[in-house]
Amino acid sequence: MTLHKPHFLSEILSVILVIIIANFFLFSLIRSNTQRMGTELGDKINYFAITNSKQKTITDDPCKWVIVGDPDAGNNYAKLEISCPNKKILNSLDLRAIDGANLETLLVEYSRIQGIEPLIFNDKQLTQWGNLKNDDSYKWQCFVANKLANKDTVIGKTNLVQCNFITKDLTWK
Amino acid sequence: MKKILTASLLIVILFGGFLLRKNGFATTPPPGESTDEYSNAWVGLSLLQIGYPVGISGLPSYGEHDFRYINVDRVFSSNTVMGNAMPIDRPWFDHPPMMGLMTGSFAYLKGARVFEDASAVIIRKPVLVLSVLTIGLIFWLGTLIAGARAGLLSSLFYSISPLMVINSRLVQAENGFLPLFLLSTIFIYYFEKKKQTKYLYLSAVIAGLAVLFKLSAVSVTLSSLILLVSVKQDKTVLIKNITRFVIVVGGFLSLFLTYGFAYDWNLFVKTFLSNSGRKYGIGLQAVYELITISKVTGKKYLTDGWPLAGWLSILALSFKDQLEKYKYVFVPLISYLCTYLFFGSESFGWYRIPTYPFLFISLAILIQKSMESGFVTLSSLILLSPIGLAGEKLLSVDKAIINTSVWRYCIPLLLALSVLLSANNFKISKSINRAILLVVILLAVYASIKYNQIIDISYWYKTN
Repeated sequence: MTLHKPHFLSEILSVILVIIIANFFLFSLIRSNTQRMGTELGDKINYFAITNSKQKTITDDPCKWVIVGDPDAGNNYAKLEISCPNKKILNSLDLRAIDGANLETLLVEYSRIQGIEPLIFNDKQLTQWGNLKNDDSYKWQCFVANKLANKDTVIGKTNLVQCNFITKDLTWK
Repeated sequence: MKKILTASLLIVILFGGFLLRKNGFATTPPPGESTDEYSNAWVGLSLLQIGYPVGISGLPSYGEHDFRYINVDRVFSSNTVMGNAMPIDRPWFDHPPMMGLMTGSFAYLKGARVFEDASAVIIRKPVLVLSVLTIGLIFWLGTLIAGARAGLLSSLFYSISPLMVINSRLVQAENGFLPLFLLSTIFIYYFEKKKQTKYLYLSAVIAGLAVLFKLSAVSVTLSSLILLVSVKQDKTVLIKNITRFVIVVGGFLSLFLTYGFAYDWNLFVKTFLSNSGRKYGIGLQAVYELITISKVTGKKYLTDGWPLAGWLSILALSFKDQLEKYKYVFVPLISYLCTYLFFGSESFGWYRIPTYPFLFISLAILIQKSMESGFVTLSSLILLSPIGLAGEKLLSVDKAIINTSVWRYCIPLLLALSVLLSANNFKISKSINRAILLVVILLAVYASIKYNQIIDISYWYKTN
């Protein structure tokens, strides 16, 4: 037994040495990388999260896709109702996922989620969304909590946001 | 000749198992049924590109979560995520990153660069490959324990069981460390037979690697250590071997600790404690449900008689003189069961994945023993579980697929005949009995394959 002791000990020490080296290497790699990234990290993570996949099919129909279900966000949500010529859809959006929620940021984020293009505001008003563009007969009108809204209108918790593409004859004030 | 036949049959089983898993793998279970799948891939993608793990959590340790709508696979338009924005946290410490690195690397190689690129059709592919590897490893372990016939039967049953087919598609850590569980067990077997230290080290390295998939893979270490202790060896040698094993596994575990320390030790510890503090979601009825209910996810069940058949075979084999002989089935199973009961957490179906290979090996051993002895009634009776349950599902879809007369008249007749024949020792009686068991096995295989073929996305939504 005594003859084998040094052999076993050196074996174990070798294994431990490999472990220490591996840990040191891993630690150095992670720390140097984190320091190198610095403030870029947040931007990169944001990029990963908000960039649409190139595989995602872009649509020009704002009413094509709907967000199914209600988020588990307490009262920190907003409802977004979109009325297109032949369809009306209702979505619930978690406001925690939308920075500085106003009408513009909400619609920009919704368009990004669903892959809707384009989204155009002119003079603070929505003028085109997908292939639905203001013309002589139809226009977009958006309301927040039943009040006419523009792109800067703040979206409060539980607010209902309605964006309707309707004939000029039916336009509200 | 026998080896060629065995190899040929194994290839057929592997290929068949792969085809069953591949068919509809990206749609069933529906993407988003478990957001863990995406989280794992995102951890890998972010680690590879920026060296920082980012994934979905929701654990309170992270404080304020960064909620995002990442509409991969258009999950927000399905009823899987139910409109919930995803809580993104970083650095992500919920689990060790190995599963993420595996799926994230594959996704990266396939061109994924942002989170939305990591669709189910991409990230589930490496798991399909792993599951075929698992089938092969089940054959290997089954063969070592009880011969090639048991190896073939166990891998066949595992490859066709509908629950296994569906489970094998999920990007869950359990699917990642399951082949490692089998491999570590195999190497301990070789260590016992050949007494060569290299096998011990191989087993330990594999067990250590398994822990880097999920901490519950500590069951692999537990299982291998118990098996190591059961190996006949000098006390001093045993202590040395345990030391070797523990140090190697400890080394891998230390890598995870270093990983946490390098990013944010406080958050790492808080997340570990948060994970440990999860409610005991499996409940005290956990063992009952493990045996009687076949779950896929948290809320979805897929009726399948194979796990029950496996558990019944465990009971049938659990006699005192069999425990030592089949310790390579019992010890891993019980080790994982202990870990499962200890960790608790939610009653997700994928937590059960590591038990299944050992159940199927046990079933194969029982059938093999029945074949050898010619007493087939018990095995035939146990196999009625997968036949009946698959048959019932097929019948609900199309009465033409399965004929109830086969069940109603032939099965009782066969069972009665087998009991009658078992009562005497004539050679021909045993041959007929073996033929009966073979018929029952073929029926079970046929019914399971047919059942697999009806499981698609519309079936998924109809099922409880």
